[in-house]
Amino acid sequence: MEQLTNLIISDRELAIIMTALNKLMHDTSATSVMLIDKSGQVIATQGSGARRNVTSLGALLAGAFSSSRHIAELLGEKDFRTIFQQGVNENIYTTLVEEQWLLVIVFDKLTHIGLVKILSKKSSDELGRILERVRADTTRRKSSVLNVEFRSSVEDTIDLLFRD
Amino acid sequence: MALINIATHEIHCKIVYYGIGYCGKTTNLQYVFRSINPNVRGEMLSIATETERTLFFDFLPLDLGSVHGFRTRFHLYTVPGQILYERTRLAVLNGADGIVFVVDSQSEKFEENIQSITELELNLHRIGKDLANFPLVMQWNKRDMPSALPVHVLERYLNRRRVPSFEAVASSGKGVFATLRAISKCVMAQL
Amino acid sequence: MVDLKQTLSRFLAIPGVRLAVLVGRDGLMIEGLARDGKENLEAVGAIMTTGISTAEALGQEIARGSVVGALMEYERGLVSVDPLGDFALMVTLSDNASSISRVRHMVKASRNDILEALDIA
Repeated sequence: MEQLTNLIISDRELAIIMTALNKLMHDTSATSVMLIDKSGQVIATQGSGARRNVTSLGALLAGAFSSSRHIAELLGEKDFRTIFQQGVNENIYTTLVEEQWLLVIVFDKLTHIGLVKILSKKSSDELGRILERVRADTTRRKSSVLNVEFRSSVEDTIDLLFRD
Repeated sequence: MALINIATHEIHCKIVYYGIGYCGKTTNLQYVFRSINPNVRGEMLSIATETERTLFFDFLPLDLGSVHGFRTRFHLYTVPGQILYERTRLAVLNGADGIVFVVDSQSEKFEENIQSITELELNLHRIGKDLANFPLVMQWNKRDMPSALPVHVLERYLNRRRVPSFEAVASSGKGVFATLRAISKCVMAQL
Repeated sequence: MVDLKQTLSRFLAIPGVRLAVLVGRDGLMIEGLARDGKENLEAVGAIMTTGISTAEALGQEIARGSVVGALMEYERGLVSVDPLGDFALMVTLSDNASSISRVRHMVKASRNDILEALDIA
């Protein structure tokens, strides 16, 4: 499958994503819901998952998920597309969206995994459609953001902040 | 994969430090963590064994702040170097926008370095990256060691693509930021 | 958004009903309520799912279609299983047979609510 080198998410699409995450969180009574890129970057979060360590969480969850898929390969299994981590007070359910994003639901004892599974399937399908639009949109938008002035300024900032 | 979020005005890029065990990948990140302006960096995460060898990855988020209204973030990762972690390296490479190949310059490590760069090229191919255009920078580390091979030898056998290369002694910080500047600019240029 | 707990509590309101469990066909519990909280609801749901698979297999063997309901009579109670389409089962435990018709009626009445709660078209 062709992989783009980058993705551009517009205001409109982000708003739609936030609405979808919010609905899922509400319907499952989850503690928080996150959408992360499979490289570990956090795209959006809802709920008390607006925690300090959300950057690290994104990196670790993506790492764990990526690791799990490689395990599948070694076992001769086609793929593991979801992970369920069961804790003492809270659980985490992670599912792949269209080979690019991970939908992460953190929930406690008040919610049951069966419900999370069923409702996240629907959200995952919806997010998949959003992703398709984002992909289509990207080629159009790139040059408006990454113009010459921007690139030049970033290089200056790099020189400044990454100095010896 | 670089992520440009127009709504939140953020650009995210992933840079991976690759190379054999003990070549200095983690040392590079640790030096950046210690030396860079604390406002620019987040917490460093290290998933390591009890003897402090990288087990899964090290992770250091860097935030360049706002440039023309866009907040630019670089997330630095290292892979575990030992041979048994081959699959893990592939897992960490996922979504990389640029790679720093760290070389232990010592002559006794030469064969391992060759194997490692070959593995990297294979892995990049597996994750669908076009090697000719992929941001890559070489770091000839451990230049202070007595058995360090001359740079022109390393260039000849390990830098076939003639990408930018930097001499370094990561433990003292020499060359660390020069390498980081180069790979960051390279990644931005490719966006 | 329909509150599943509330829907299930309506089952518990039927005299004689001890527990009500909504379980997915994969055996994972979606929601469950028990009158005295001592029962292991997840186990009930999981075991029942396996039981229904066996019943479905029999149905196929004798060419009589899918399971539309099941009743298990025990020395000290009665378990009723009512499939909700392809995706879930409603499992109730009652003291005796007198509540069964009310349970079945409640399943019919709650069906749409449950489908809506689970976002299944």
